[in-house]
Amino acid sequence: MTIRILLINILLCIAIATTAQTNVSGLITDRETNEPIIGASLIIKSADGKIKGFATSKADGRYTIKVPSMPGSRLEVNMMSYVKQSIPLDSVTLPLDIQMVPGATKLKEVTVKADRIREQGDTVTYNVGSFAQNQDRSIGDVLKRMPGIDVEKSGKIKYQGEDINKFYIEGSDLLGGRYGIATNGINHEDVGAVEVMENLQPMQVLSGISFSDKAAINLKLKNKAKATWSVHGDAAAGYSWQPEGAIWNGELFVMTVMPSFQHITTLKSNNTGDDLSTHATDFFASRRETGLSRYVSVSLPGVPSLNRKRTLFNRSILASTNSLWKLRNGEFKSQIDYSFNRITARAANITTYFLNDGNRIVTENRDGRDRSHSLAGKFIYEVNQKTTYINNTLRTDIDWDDVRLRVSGSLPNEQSASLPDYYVSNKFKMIKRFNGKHLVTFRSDNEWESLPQTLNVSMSTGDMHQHIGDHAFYTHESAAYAFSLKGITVSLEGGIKGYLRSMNSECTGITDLPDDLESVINTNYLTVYATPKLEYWVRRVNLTITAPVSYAHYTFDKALANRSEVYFSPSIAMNWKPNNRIQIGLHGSTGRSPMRLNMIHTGYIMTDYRSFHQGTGDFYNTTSQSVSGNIAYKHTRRGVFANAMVVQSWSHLPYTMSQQLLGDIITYTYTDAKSNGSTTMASGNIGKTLDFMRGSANINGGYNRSRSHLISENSDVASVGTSWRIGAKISGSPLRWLSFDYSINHGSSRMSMNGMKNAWLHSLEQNLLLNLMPHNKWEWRIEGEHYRNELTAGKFKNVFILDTKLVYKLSKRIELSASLTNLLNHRSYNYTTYSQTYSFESQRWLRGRELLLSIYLRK
Amino acid sequence: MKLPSVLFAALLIPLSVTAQTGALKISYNYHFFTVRGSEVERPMILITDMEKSKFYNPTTDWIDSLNTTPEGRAKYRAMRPRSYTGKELGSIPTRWEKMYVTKNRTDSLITEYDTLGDERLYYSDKLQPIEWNMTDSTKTILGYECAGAEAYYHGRHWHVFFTPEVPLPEGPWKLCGLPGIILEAKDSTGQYSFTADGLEEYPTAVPPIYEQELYERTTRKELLKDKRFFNENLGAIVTSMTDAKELHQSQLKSLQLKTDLDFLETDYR
Repeated sequence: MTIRILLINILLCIAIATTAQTNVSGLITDRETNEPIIGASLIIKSADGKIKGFATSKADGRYTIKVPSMPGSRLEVNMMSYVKQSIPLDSVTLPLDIQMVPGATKLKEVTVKADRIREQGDTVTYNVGSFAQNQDRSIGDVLKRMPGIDVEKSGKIKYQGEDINKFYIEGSDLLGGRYGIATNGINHEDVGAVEVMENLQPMQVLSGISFSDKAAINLKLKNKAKATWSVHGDAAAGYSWQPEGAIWNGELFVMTVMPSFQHITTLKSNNTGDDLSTHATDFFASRRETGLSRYVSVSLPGVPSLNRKRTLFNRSILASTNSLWKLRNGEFKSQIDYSFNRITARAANITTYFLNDGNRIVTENRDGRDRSHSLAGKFIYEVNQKTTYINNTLRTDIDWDDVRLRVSGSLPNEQSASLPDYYVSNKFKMIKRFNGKHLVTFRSDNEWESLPQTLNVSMSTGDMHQHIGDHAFYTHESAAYAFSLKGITVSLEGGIKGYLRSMNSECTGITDLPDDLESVINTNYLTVYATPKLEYWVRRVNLTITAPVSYAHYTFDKALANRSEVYFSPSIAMNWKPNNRIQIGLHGSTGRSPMRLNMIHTGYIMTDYRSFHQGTGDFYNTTSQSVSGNIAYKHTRRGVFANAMVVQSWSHLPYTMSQQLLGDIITYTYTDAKSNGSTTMASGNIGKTLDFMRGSANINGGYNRSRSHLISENSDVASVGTSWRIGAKISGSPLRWLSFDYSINHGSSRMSMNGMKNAWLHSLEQNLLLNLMPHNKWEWRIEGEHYRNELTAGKFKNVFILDTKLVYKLSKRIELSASLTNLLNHRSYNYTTYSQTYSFESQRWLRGRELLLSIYLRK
Repeated sequence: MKLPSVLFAALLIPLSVTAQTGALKISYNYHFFTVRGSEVERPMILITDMEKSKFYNPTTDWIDSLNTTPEGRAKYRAMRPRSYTGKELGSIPTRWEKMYVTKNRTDSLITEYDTLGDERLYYSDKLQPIEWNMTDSTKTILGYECAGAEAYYHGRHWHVFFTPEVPLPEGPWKLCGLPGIILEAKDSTGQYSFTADGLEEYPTAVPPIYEQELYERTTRKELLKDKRFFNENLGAIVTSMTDAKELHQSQLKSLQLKTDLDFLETDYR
């Protein structure tokens, strides 16, 4: 009995002991400052990891947690911005004071949001992290995956089928239209979100008064990329099997985005087939009003329709430095670019004519080199406020372009052209808004350009030489007044434009042509114009009517009779946004305009070794009409974006180009015959997010039909070119260790002349990229390209190119990679086509196999 | 020499949060049945730093922020056509979810802002600790390991999951006081739930409540009672507020409250 009581007592004691509560308490302080820490989170976990109690440190840094005492318990102390601590409670003495060490609290990167695309008012926000794939590096790579946004091969960005009108970084327009520097340079990991602002009127002064149907893009940087200098660089070197020798590809990108200062500098160089000139293209550049264009056109041999990086033999350098300073009232921007491109191209053609008396073989080997330097500077001062807009843009562009082309074979010759271009302009614009409704605008544009051109041709029969001097100055001064009342804005712009141009050309060494080989011509004009414009807003419709009318007086310094002309070119545009999802636009215009003045010259100009152009000997006016319609639909919650557009335009020229073969040379002249042309264009695009694999898909199509007219060998040729294309692309990351990109494009075109229809020629291009991540530090990429080009009816040429790349991510900052491009080492693109009377054999060269080892560093 | 060291520091902590400078943004999917029985899902946002937090619906917050400036008001007006059909209604930004909750741990205050018809009301209460009990359940949400806890709060029994990996005693709506952010909360009846679908750094400080001056002070229970009254008499209130005719029988029926459903807090009767 006593033993039983004793046993019960012992068991009771044990039970009491095991459920006994302990007070774990103490003080939490910062080890560096010794200050008490408030709000630290304390958790007591049992040996099996279950939470048995918790507390928060109070205002004096003290804490108390009541827990049942258990062996193996641990106290975990955690606080944002401090290093987490885990202390076994078995061996500690109470009170337990803890010193915390400052450190980072890491957030998981996998913060997949339900909304990859959000919409608020007119702004659509794309979450960059949810569209980026492992193979992406720049923000441009990710933009391509966002439905609704289309990045063309040139780098130009479109939103819902329309070109964007501004590209901002954190709300500032640092780069203007040269946003390729940002899209190709900024690492996507520095960007949190891409915002598309629909119908953005970039001039605040016009907000609510003048409608814009364009959208702007704004890159929202992550916190860590702001107010700091972000730097990354890539250095790669290797060996190429064709062109045989060393290859390199290097890049350095430096950016800072601060509240009052933004800066981007980028340096790039490669000889691996990446054309850098597109990276600094100004997509917002307005047409130069100096109206000059090159007569001489010595072009390198054409390349097969494969991806440009397969066919471009280059050495390229690009340096660009851009700064923006925010001043008290406005901002000052400086943009300076230098680029150098050396491109070489070769082609060999053998044409065999099957003649009764045996075959005649004509061979032609062309070997060309184009060296172009370009230096551009743009300096902008801008005030963009609610009542004042001021912009002064000074721009200077200097280009040097030297082309050399050697032709050997049946008609051997060597052409070398020197084509520099010097351009300076200053454009000033000021808009003032009074009482919210009245607008006054002043504008003054001045442009000057000189475009000297020299072409030397050495042939076995002798040398030919062409020189052209061409200079122009353009000035435009205008004033405008506008007022807005109850949704109606009426404006009237009036101004004066003056233009002075002189051109002289001289061609020597030609024997086969009439002696009209010299031209000296001045083409000047003075125009007075008025442009009334009416804008009307009703409900969700914007209607804009403009009716510019101008009077121009042309003088040609006795070469042609002086003349005066009146031009009227009205246009109407309607935009309807029945709701936030749909936008419909219609546009129509008609008008009469002067011909391009540089077509007026009576002497022949040699444009290449066998082409001679003679301009018109008279002044003509042309007329044209166009109608277009577009529709855009979006459903951001479902991630659906779609757009379609159709354009029809007609042109009526009172002159027609006529081509004639004179022995080995071709002459181009103009005759007084009327020439009508028309173009029909339609395109559509549907994009959709594929959330189940963090991907997106896109289907696009287009149709184009153009009619033109020329006279060849004294007979009329009406030609109709028709083409259509359809493409699809899909990308995603269906598995943790796999992401992919696939695209397919099919196109077809046909040419018909005087009703004789040639066969449709089809081309198919497919591209598949697989990115495997067997381990979080390793990536293996395999990329295949397949082309199926129809050379003549029913005869196809298939090309399959394979690349591979191995990436080792040493850390988030350092990446090492080795790539092998064109693994199968296809070095040439050869084909032969036959007809009843001849065969044509062509050979073009491709970039061969390349091994590239690279290191990527990121600050 | 300052710059390189800053750069170096930035190099080392790519995804870190410094409480002194930044805050966190947690987005929740708020799923519930209204007192009339319709099932609704609304996005909600919690912005929190070490001291305070703001819980709101982003569309309502955006509209309220627009209304603080004349330009913003004009922009918002332009967005709303004069007449619209039901279809369009979904695409027009509307103050559907009007509740705001702010918590200030330094002052130990919890404040709720709400709108009943054209009346805006708010109250502040002492931030009372919730008596949480740990459960044995665990769960991974957004990649964070979460532990389970439960508590009675103002009439409802809540089951929540919080993550000690983000050690801030915050959560959706008024739920808080656990040693980590609450990423999921469900009430036992299944009428209300909050599920986190995003967690990221927030670049600036916790934003304020816009148009605070429009709100009239009340108490928590008064607000709930007013809300009950408002909902029970919605038909009559709507008719009196607008010049609409008497509501149709079927419309009145749709306005009837479900007896088994109530507000987030039920301790007001």
